[in-house]
Amino acid sequence: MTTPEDAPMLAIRDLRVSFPTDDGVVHAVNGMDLTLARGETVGIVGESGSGKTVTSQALMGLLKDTTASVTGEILLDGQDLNTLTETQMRAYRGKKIAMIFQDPLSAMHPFYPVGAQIAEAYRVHNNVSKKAAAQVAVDMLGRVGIPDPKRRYAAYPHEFSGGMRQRAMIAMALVCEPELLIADEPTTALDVTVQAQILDLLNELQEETGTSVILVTHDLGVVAEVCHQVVVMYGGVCVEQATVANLFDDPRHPYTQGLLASMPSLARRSERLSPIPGFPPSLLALPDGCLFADRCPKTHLVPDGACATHRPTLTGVDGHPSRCHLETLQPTREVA
Amino acid sequence: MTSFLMRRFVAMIVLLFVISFVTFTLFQLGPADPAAAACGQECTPQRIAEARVALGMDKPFLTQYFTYMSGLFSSHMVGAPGSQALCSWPCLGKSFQTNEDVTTIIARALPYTLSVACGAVVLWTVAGVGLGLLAALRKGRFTDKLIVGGASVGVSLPIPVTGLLLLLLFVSTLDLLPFTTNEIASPFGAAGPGGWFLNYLLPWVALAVLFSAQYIRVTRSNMLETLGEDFMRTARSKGLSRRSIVFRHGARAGLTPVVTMLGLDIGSLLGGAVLTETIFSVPGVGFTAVHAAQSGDLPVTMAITMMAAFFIIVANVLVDIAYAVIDPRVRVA
Ligand SMILES: Nc1ncnc2c1ncn2[C@@H]1O[C@H](COP(=O)(O)OP(=O)(O)OP(=O)(O)O)[C@@H](O)[C@H]1O
Ligand code: SF4
Ligand SMILES: [Mg+2]
Repeated sequence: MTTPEDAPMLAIRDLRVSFPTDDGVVHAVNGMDLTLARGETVGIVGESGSGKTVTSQALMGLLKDTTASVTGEILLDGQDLNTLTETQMRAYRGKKIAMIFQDPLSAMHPFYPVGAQIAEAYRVHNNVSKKAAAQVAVDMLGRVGIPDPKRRYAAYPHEFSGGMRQRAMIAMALVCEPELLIADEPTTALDVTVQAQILDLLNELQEETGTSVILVTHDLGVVAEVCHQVVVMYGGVCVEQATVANLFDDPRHPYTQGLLASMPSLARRSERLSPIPGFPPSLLALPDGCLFADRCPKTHLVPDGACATHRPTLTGVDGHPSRCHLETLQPTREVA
Repeated sequence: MTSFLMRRFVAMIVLLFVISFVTFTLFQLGPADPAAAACGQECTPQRIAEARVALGMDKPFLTQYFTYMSGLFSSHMVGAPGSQALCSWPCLGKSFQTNEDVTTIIARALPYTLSVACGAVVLWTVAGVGLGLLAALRKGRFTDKLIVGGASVGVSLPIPVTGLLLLLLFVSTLDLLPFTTNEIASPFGAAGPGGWFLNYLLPWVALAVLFSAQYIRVTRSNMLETLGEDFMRTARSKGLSRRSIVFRHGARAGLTPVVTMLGLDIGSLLGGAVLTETIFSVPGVGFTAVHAAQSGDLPVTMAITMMAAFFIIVANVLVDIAYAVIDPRVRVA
């Protein structure tokens, strides 16, 4: 399949995910949009419950064959993953899109040696002997900075330290050289010093392999350090997407502005973001208007109480869209 | 791993002795006077006194215990001076009823119990684990509800009820199967494997109905828990086939508790399936123990009690070892 060079490698369009539960339908993702160019890293930030993990799961196709309803487009190199069956999707998982998780200990099978789990990931998509796959796994363990990889190949997950385990998870995810790596809070469970090492490693491997990365995090400091693009999520939608520089210099959405204002300094990270007074909307009964209206300090700037009655769309200039009625009111705003 | 095995083995030997001592003590302290039981119908005080000597009960308690246990390792003479008889190795005394060596009686009963146990275990493991897995994979759907419903009925059916119903249906009414006979102790006898199979089919089914129902529940709930684990999501994220995900990753972890349960159940079953053997008149260990207890045959009852305890302890150790083989995290501990 050939795609034009300038087409984004990944484009999520109006992604909606809902889960039927005993209490009613949980609308976890409500029209998510995101674009990602080849070789870039996009950070997804947002409060707990804003739908970051559910979005990642939808990307991996992990919600297929479950009770969840998933609509919208997930275009990877022009192919809509959302139309694929579970069986078709299998060819993509691990091979084109791979994922690493928050807690590497629970994410690895406790009964199999780490190396074998990496070799298994390789053999799913490459028709090679067990021995050859084992060699690939050893090489991969070395590449992610695990000392004495030959010996560590046979060790079990519980015999690794937290940081080494996350390195091994990264090795497992990258062993088939995927085009897209989704990292869902890969450092949250780790010590601060180890966090930095893992981020450096991700950066390094990203530059080396040209893999695009989606980095889910609570931490704007992490975003500033490793990402090219940022997507801010709120209530299951993207409220703003921008380059890192633009987002910090010129935050357009009131939610983003609140986030940045509440950050004491970029050096202070590992702190969960819950800066703006109020609570996110109930995902069981979404408001008709803007999802942020309850907490927004700027509703008075929008005429006719539109914030409470009309859901804003993602609009904006210079590849810096924001989902706020103020965008359409100020079409001639200055660009910083 | 080797030191783990060594430690478990030593602990097992110690525990076996402790259990044997406790059992021995309990039987000595129990309400039944062995001497009175041994001397039979027309007991005079003098005959009871003779019986006490014959049983070695005039000796100190610890000596009695060591004499009893030494029989496991060497033959020796039992009985009062003058009327002594050889109790050949391994010796656990002689039956008050038949004067046979207790070990001979147990050796005769054991093949019946083994026959009942092995078929039942295979049947309930296959049915219980298979249906439990299926129910977990079809969670919430019709198949699941059917299996779970069946299991709820199964666990509430006591073996006497199932056993009698089976006998009534297949033997009395339909006349499809023979009534169990004590002439067939193993598949290697004159009746051959086929005869053996038909002979034990009903006891197997009676046991399996109850046990598979329990195994269905345990398998289903453990599998459901495992299917929700993070590492299952990882397995799926790798692009593995559903079969690999469910069996290589899921069942390996989800069935570990079933292994424990199976080991312990086999252990206790080898000590005699009392109800099943009684209902189907299979002269196995459980059946023998019940009869011995009813007729006050203390040496037989005590020996079978000890043997049952031994089987359970050994099963426990084997389960621990199996666990260490399955789960590498256990080996460190
Ligand atoms: N399988 C599910 N069934 C029902 N609700 C779900 C399910 N999965 C997620 N949700 C709900 O969807 C919402 C979004 O969850 P999600 O895990 O994506 O949040 P998140 O942004 O990743 O938060 P965190 O930062 O805490 O990881 C939450 O309210 C969650 O309870
Ligand atoms: S649309 Fe209204 S409520 Fe929503 S962010 Fe903009 S100003 Fe605030
Ligand atoms: Mg999350």
